[in-house]
Amino acid sequence: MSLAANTAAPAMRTGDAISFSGVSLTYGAGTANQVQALKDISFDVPAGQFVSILGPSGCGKSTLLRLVAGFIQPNAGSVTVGSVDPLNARENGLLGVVFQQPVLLPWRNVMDNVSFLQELRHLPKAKRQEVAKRYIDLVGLRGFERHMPHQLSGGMQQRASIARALAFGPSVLLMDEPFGALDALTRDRMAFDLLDIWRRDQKTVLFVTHSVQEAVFLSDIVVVMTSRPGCVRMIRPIDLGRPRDKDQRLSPEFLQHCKVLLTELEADIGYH
Amino acid sequence: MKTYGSMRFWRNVGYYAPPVAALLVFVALWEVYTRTFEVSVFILPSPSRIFQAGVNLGPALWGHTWTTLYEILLGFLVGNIAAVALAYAIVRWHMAERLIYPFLLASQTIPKLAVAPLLVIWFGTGVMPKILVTALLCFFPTAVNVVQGLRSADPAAVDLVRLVTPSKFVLFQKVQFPSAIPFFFAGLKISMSSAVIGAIVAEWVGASKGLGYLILYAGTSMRTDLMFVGVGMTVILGMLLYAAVGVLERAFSWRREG
Ligand SMILES: Nc1ncnc2c1ncn2[C@@H]1O[C@H](COP(=O)(O)OP(=O)(O)O)[C@@H](O)[C@H]1O
Ligand SMILES: [Mg+2]
Repeated sequence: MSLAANTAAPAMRTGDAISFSGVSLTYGAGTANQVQALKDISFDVPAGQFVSILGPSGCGKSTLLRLVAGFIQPNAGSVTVGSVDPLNARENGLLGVVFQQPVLLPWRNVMDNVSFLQELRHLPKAKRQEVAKRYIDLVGLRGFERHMPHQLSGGMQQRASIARALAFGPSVLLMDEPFGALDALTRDRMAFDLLDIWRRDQKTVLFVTHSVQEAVFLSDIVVVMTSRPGCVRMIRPIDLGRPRDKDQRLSPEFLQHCKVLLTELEADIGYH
Repeated sequence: MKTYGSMRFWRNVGYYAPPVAALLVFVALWEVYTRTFEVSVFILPSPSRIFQAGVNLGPALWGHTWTTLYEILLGFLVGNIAAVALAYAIVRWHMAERLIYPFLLASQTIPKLAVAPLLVIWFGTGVMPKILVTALLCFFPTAVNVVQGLRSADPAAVDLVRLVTPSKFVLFQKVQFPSAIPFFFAGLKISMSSAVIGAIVAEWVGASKGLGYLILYAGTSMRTDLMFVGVGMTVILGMLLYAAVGVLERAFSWRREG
């Protein structure tokens, strides 16, 4: 498309790398009910790659993303985004977040929700709406600009929230189970669209999920985590080639990846 | 267009007809009852008698109404501005919450009728003590609702803003304040009813005009019909003011359902 050619486009900086080295995090440290959520996490998310984190509930996946977003600070170790501290990365507008829920502001229509972050940055109205419009089209919400969130289906709301994150023009996209609240069909469709978008924009994506198939289908690398405390159990490159298509999901290579990852996951939960 | 307009007209008629009819039946029964049993005018004057008393008062009735309306509106304004400011401080600063809450609760347990004379001693018999009593009565519902509303902001939306700016003011302006608007109007409606009571009560102590004064005067001079004029006018005023808040709400609030 002509995305990069458009002068009004946000700085099309390709993805920055994320790096965790020796990261530990304890909630409520020093209190009676402290919880060690992460212990000695080290791995890199290479620039421009799609990396998924796979793990059971409560293993610290959200905590990991919150560290990258700078919402919380590690008790030990360090997190860097494009070689700077998360707080600096945030200030430079490098970080985009998509939550499990759409988190649209119910008093704003789709256009005003998608352009919300650019509004906070004082981008002139015409300009931010132009950018927002492009991403609204990209996620397939053309014609719904004036709709209010409650008039959209769950899938459409989540699309709007993805458009909002993209319109902000971050180099790193953090997605915390973004399709968790969707039905299986919509979920598949969105995963596919997300790959399309990612291919155009070349962002670094850190994607949390507990679906093995979803992780394998989307990712360059899958990181498996175990719980109590959250540790990295396995880092598996997914060498399936790109672009990926739906039929690939039935290929022996694909199923082999799933099998290996599933075995690791089940070992943690103790199902065998 | 015309058919649509007339359809809407008839729908409105259908909506408002039952309560209006009920009210008319009530008044009619009242009239019939007082006439049939020749009830003493000191105990229960008939509606027509009350209406006549109001007409006889003439412009004086409008003077009383205007005075009370003026006190209600000013007290309401002062009370609600204070309420929103306090609510903001409580949500914004932890210490403010601990400092202000005891006063907030105390202000509710103060017997307003009892402090009204004190306010007269302090501020005289002018409009000032009436505005203060009214403000005191009507600020609590708004304050409590706005605190709750400001805290109702989605924590994820708060994170979203923090991703872009550390400004507490921007957070307030773009997320917390809009989140609180439906709560604000819910508080405002209760606040308006309280404001009416506040103004009437305040006039019972050291006033020479206003509907509260009219009611008090009528009571002490055994003019039950005048008393009903005052009470009736207060009820009408209260309902109109309540409806006005509803109109404001429809104009400025947002709701989840379309
Ligand atoms: N704010 C918090 N305070 C205390 N404990 C928390 C908090 N957030 C998460 N935890 C705990 O940390 C662990 C990891 O949580 P989380 O990162 O949300 O896991 P996941 O996203 O993988 O389900 C859990 O045991 C959870 O109970
Ligand atoms: Mg989570």
